[in-house]
Amino acid sequence: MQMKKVVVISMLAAAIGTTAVTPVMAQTNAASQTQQALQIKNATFTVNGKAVAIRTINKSGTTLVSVRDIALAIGAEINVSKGVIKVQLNHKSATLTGSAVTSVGGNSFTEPKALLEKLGATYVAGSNVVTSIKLLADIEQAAWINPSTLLASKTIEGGREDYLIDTATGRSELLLASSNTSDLVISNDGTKVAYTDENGAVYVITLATKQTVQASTDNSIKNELQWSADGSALFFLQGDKNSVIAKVDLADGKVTKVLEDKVDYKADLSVSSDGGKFAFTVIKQPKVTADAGKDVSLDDVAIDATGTEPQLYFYDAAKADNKPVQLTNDKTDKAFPQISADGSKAYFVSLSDDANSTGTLEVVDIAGKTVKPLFNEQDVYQLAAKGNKLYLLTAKGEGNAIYNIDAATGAATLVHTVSDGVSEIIVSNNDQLAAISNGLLAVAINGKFTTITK
Amino acid sequence: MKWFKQITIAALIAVIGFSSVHVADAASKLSGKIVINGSSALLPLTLQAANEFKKANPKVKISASAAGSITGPQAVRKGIADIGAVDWDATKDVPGFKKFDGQVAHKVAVIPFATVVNKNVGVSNLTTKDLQGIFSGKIKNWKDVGGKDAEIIVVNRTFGSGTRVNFQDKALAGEDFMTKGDNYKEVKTSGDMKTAIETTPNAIGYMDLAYVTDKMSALSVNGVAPTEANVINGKYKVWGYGYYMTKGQPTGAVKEFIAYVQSAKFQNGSLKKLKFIPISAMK
Repeated sequence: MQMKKVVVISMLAAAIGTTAVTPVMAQTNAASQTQQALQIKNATFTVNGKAVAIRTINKSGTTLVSVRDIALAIGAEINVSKGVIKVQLNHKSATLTGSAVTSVGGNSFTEPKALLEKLGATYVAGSNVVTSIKLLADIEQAAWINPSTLLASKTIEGGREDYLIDTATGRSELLLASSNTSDLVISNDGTKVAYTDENGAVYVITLATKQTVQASTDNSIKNELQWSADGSALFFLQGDKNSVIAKVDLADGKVTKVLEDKVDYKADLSVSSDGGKFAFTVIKQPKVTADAGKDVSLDDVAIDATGTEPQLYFYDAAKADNKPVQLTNDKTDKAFPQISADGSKAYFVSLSDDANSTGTLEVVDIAGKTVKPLFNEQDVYQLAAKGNKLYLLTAKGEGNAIYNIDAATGAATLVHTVSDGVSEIIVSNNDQLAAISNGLLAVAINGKFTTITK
Repeated sequence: MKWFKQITIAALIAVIGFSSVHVADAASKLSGKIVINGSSALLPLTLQAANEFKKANPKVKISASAAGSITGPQAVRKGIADIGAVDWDATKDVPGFKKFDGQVAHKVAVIPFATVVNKNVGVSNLTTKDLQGIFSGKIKNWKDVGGKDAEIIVVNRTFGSGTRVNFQDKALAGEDFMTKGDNYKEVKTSGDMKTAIETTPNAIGYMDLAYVTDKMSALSVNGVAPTEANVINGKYKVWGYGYYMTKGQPTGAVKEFIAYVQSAKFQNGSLKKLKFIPISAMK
């Protein structure tokens, strides 16, 4: 291809062609002083998470890339004037002249690192990875919205920012910058998110339009918002002591009480698909004995924690008797409790006091109030559940592992072996997985994890 | 640095050069047991923080109780609690209590306190001098401070309450409380105070602003209303810091838990929702 004196090429419209290995003669752009036989090869680069074919040559042991191909891949524009190539990406540009360019068969090749860094992109030699999208940094938590989008959040000075991240490219879009708000919770169909502010007011954002509406002005304290399956209501724990399970109807903003049993400090609220069955834990306080009449220096205080371990409870709202059923009665901690979609079972990770013990996944048959282990092959760190889909983050050797558990049979399938830096897994409604390791968010695509934040 | 074993090239590249480790991320296998005791005012905050902290650190067991601020540093000194929740800096002497040597005070919240009266009391503002007179028993009738002709019922917190320490120090400018009398009663907890004020005609007491309900009236002091804004702008003086006391500098799970409570995420989120004020707001 001959370059015209002034050529502006829309890189997005151009095509990547050559696949054959092509021996050609090369010459520098400045002159045709040194000639040597060079081969144009097709190499696979990973550009913003996608595999892209880039023509390369090896010149004196240095890999040079086709200026046109690399510009096309990152969406940059090329302007050629009087033998000077100017590449522009967004507001940054790089000028290639003289020995910076090697012309082979009418194609211009250059050393990629300097070019890409001038354009604000990153390139790591050896692995051929180019990132021109500004990846989101320092995210702290994430959740799936739909198969191509994750919601990711980070704390900033005075508040929090919530972003939508394209899982294919890592491209992010700010959804909400706020202060004094609860975490966003995503509706089951992935079309809306909800949150509360410091005054208890409830807000709903429609993701398609990014429009926010205040759904309720009720000023009671609302913790642990949970969407109803049909998206018409939000359930939550109400009050500074989480004493009540309540529901706000998003059509009229009215709050109704679902369970008011005068038991404080409920936690880990989980709701069945029909919105009628609830699982939660109750945290009891140790009994403290202290005689205020005695000399303070005597430290006449005693703490008795007997029988205060958290227990799992179940409530069927259809009974409307304000009498939840206690499902467990042991001394273990119950982490990540989750009710099944039909409300017939509950799952949790059991953790005992013994430092040498391991976490186990337990299943509770709610009707029979029986508890039995469902997975105890490895030390369980986390249960990530979506309805009846159960995934576990566990120990495995010197690293960690991700298992899929068949809720019906308890059969465990090893899905991924990962490093011990993985601290959290995130599962979607359709079994997609993401994970957080050392502050980086990665998504599993075709069985492999790719980071999409930095 | 370890990473996914099934790793793409992109993932590998992203990891290189990113060496910082987030506390929360690195802490998923953090284990241990944390026992917290002390202030009843801080208990809802502590339990909410514990609930959130345990989601990221499930192997940390947290037990929290409350029997009044003074029992917090007492329990730490006795070695039966890792954290003593207290409504004053217990490394310093305060009226009624000597400092606790060897303990470290960690600020975790700003707690506004309100003077509260039964709904039937027709007074909306009192001066510091009025409050000193009422709580010492020298002023006995509401008509003497602009109200109706009715005897004042003084409700006080029991000795050892952090709310009492703060109220005496900030609202009464250190003046002593009355300790007995026909129209005087003491209650043990903030919840008991709430009940007493709501149900006792002509009663006056004090509590965390967060505990104030629409069944009572919160009074202005020296013409300044007890609001979060007035605390932050320095006009309202009756407030204090909530502290977590530890025996020496904390380590391990205790250190990480305190860091979580002090984090911007918790301070700007759940802490504000529970009607406390972030410690950063007072800088």
